[in-house]
Amino acid sequence: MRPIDDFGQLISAQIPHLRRYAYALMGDRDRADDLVQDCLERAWSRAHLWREGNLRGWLFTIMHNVSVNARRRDYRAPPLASLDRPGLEPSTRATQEDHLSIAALRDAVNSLPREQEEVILLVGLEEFSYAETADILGVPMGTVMSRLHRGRERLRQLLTNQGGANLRRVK
Amino acid sequence: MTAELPINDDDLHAAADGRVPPERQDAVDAALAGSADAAARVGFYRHVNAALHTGYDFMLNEPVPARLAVRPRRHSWQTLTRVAAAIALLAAGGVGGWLAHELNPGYEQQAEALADLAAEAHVVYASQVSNPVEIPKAETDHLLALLSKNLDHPVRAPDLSAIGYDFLGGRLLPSGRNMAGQLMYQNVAGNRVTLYFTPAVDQRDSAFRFIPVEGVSVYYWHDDDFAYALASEVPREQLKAICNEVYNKLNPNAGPVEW
Repeated sequence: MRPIDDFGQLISAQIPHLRRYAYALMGDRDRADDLVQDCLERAWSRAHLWREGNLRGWLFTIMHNVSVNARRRDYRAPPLASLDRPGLEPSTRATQEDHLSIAALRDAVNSLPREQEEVILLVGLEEFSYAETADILGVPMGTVMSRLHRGRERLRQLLTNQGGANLRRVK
Repeated sequence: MTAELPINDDDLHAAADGRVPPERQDAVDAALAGSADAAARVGFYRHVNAALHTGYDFMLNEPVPARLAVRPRRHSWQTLTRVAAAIALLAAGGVGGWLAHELNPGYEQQAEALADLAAEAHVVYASQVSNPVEIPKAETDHLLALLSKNLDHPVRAPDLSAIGYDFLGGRLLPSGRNMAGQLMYQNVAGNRVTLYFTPAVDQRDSAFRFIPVEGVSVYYWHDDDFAYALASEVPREQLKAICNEVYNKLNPNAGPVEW
């Protein structure tokens, strides 16, 4: 059996990634860290179930399951949640030719159905492969691809309409 | 024009994510070169990915809050506790109960169920202007004796006056098929907070959990004797401070609360 301290170090290394994803998903720090805390507690209580392998994927799987449970309860988000966005000040906006306002993108992503939001964040932010994403969410890869497609096309509609572009419907 | 593309939607996403299979690479490159629409879509998807990193990567460099950096407390002796409990139950012939307990994933469900009951009891009784408690502070000894007898563990009423909350009294309540106690406190602003507790049936980790229930904030935790749910309408941070005080008063020998 793996020494518990090794496991602790491996988990610790993943906490920043879990927090980044949770923050993107939940929209405020407290709720994000609550989610991460729940995830870590569950991971510790199931440490004996983890075998050699993709710890990061395993932790994100746990976090997904925890967030599904949390969402069933947390139907009333704190009204101040949307103000707690210290990381998304104008100074952190994308520069260069990137025409996407970070704040607009964040709002658009958060407005998507949660299942599409998760896929867009797992693939685009956490850079999991499509197969890993399917494992984490417990759905077939075809479902991942269709959620990714619907989510990204919806973003395109939401965000490029602002610029007056006329979208061509793609299948 | 889309019909002329020799590639499909999945290829466009794979192109944006850098995940085109090698055998598809040439076909995808050619299709993108020949279709402004496809290229624009891939460009947009890439922008989304880049913007997500721009917006959220700062979290990777933030210091991890202490409550996440430490292993959940009690874990180190949790296994021992389980073994001890298993032996006790085996000795008592409660094998079926133990197995059912072990196979029951329901720590969260249990916490949430208790939070629901506590929030309900809070809403019902804390809103009573004239008679919010059944047994008032003046009869504290009677109240604590009654609760201790029915809940099978010694009950104490933590003194929260240091943070401005006066003890009002409490009551014995039904809690599913069991009993629960409720103690109520109030500050000068008229804010009321209730501490709801039932005998603990689960010896696993006792980290504090924040569980909002329809306008009522609840913090849940448990110790060896009781599962607790502290409920109030005050903002979460205030309730957290109250929760700290309750915990410290109930556990005067414990160190600072680990969140």
